[in-house]
Amino acid sequence: MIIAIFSGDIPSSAFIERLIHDLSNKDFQIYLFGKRKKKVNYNNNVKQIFFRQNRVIIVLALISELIKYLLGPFSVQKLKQLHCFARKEGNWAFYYQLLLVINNKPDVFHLQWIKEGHKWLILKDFNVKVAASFRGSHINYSPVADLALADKYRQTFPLYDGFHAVSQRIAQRAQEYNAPIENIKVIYTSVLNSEVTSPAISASDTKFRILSVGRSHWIKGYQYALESIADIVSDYKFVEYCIVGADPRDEELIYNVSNLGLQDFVKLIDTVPHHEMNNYYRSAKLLLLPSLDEGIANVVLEAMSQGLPVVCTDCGGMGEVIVNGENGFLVPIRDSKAITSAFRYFIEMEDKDRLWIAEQGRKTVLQKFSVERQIEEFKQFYTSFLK
Amino acid sequence: MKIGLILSKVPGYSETFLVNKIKGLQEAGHSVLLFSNAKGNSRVFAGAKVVSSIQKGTGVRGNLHNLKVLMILIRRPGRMLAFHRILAGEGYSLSERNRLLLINAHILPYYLDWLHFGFATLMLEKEFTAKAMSAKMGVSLRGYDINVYPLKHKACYKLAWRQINKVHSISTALYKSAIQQGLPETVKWTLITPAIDYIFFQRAQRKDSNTDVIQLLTVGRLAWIKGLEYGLAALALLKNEGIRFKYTIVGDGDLYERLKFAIYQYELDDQVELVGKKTPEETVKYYQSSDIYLQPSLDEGFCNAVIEAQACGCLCIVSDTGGLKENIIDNKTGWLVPARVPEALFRKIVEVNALSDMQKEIIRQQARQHVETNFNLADQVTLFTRFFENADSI
Repeated sequence: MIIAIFSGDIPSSAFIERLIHDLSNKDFQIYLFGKRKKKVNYNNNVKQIFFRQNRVIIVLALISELIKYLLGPFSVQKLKQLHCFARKEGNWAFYYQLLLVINNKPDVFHLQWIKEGHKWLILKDFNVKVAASFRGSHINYSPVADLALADKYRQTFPLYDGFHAVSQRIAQRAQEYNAPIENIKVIYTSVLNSEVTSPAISASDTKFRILSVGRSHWIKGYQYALESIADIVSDYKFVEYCIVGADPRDEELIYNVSNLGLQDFVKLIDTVPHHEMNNYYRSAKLLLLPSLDEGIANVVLEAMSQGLPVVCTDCGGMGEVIVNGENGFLVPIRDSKAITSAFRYFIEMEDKDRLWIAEQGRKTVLQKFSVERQIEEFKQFYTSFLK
Repeated sequence: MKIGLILSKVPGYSETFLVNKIKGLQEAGHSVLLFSNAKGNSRVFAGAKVVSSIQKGTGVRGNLHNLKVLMILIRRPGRMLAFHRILAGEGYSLSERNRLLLINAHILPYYLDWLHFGFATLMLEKEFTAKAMSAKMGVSLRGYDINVYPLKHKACYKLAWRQINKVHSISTALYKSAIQQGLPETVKWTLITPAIDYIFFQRAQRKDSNTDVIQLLTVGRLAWIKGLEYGLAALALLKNEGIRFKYTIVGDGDLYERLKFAIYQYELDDQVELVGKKTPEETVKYYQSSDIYLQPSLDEGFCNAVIEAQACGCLCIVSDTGGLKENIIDNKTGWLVPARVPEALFRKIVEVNALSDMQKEIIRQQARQHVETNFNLADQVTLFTRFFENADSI
């Protein structure tokens, strides 16, 4: 079975790279399509097929792909249709990209992002199944503000062969845009077993560090986190809040830090290489996810796997991970007071209770978010519509 | 006197305050010259000559740029030397001096008594221009330059503050923030609040709604500093209470997607409408058909929209922050509530809505009177003229 994975760029974002890595450890043949950004080494069963960027090379590549097409099984009539479609939806470069995919004959073309997905549906006419993933902004909030996009979704979602959703909640949302429920399979992301270690609660420090991880973007809800920190430090001076991945030059963020008088309590750390993240998880007492929406936040799974207890907004699929008070804490979105209460409760908890929560969190990740389970489910997903 | 005003772009015709300011200065016998950082089509604005900065290009255009600069400087070699000498004294390298010379070349040749910067960020890289021209240097302080920009660029006005002769601030709060940002207290300053053409806002009759649906309004850019999400949170509480209302936000900006999503999450799609940017004439109609005006900002320099809303007889509920505290007289021309506290805003809306018609009318009258007395264009223009004429007094 040849699975084509398309996310635009090679390499793609961290979690898509992880998915590619996980899938390539199984008996799939994987073709990656996309613009080349950097050299990457994958397993032998992963073939990288680059979309060229140079105009001259595109013309030459287009000629060569046309010849390959004519030697292949499909009719000239179909080529004409393809040509018209490509002209309507894009340009010559897109025409060449479509041909390149068709000539490589993948069984499934799996789009990692849904927004521009409809452009690739024509591949169905060439015996390629088209699948797409529902994740992040493309399904959560873009169609709320962009009504034309919502319309496009409603028209085209019934045409896909299958959908992968990163959470139950996202699968429900997609149904609002006419995605047929029977075509959606929820597959949770995974955390590598080797990353799952025993709880790190014992890390002794005079500071009580609360950690958040994620870029500076309004969807992350940092203003509510900062308001809550302002509340909590008035009683607990030893609390320190650290946001990893936030832009220390983001105007709104630094304004809020300054306006709430938190200069001495908040650290904004630009970027941290992924392998160093474990140090941050280990030096913190609590992870906070103040987001307004998420698929399922990977940082929460990672933190839990490291035995770091989590306070997290009840957004997107987070309620599918956390049972409030059992393996972490759930608070309503956009509610700094609720975050403060959770902080207070946690700070006042006895060590053994914190350890228990951490241990439950770790177990949840081991059981529900293992690589083996994820790969098995992807296998079922792909085979389901190949039959 | 000859007064040079530095603006970021060539002003549009709708900028009533600027037009009046320029006309006021001209009528008082001064000549006004405008310097714009961006290229615009008009070479004259409100009877004042507009000088655009020389746009940098590449290749042939780049050389043409250098040639233009050279032509200007040949006309005034003394200025170029003075500029170089001052910068050298400040420890700038030769290449830095040349770079700054290119940036300032369109201003340097003129003979002026005052070089006035329309807002503080415009002074950056032009700190020594006035000195080289032997002109006095003035600046107007605005919200963003003082409340936000220096947080990102620490001590960015350090050089400029030393050169300034006089500061204009639109509110006392903003002046105090500038002091925190390093403005020496010894520098003379004048408070001149923004002003509006209140007759334009008052002339039409209010269309008070007869229904029990409260008409709520905010006018402004869709920007995070406006605290619009907190306003929406308050309205979600209002909806829970079963109170019927309609909220309109006039303006556009970066926050569109974020606000649409907040409206969706608070389930306010039927109550809230983002109508985009409107002309002043259209905006007046929104004010006139609204009962309560909300300004839930985190910070404001002063906020013209709140002056306009008062002039139009809206009942204003605004954040207790920055220049808004000087704009609204609490319980007299409107109400102040703490910023970032949706519950407080919600309670105040309920309270204001429950006032008797008589009580509402008293507030409306006082608000109109407040604008007429304190924020009228003619007085402000006089104050501005005096700002330049009496360099050494407040």
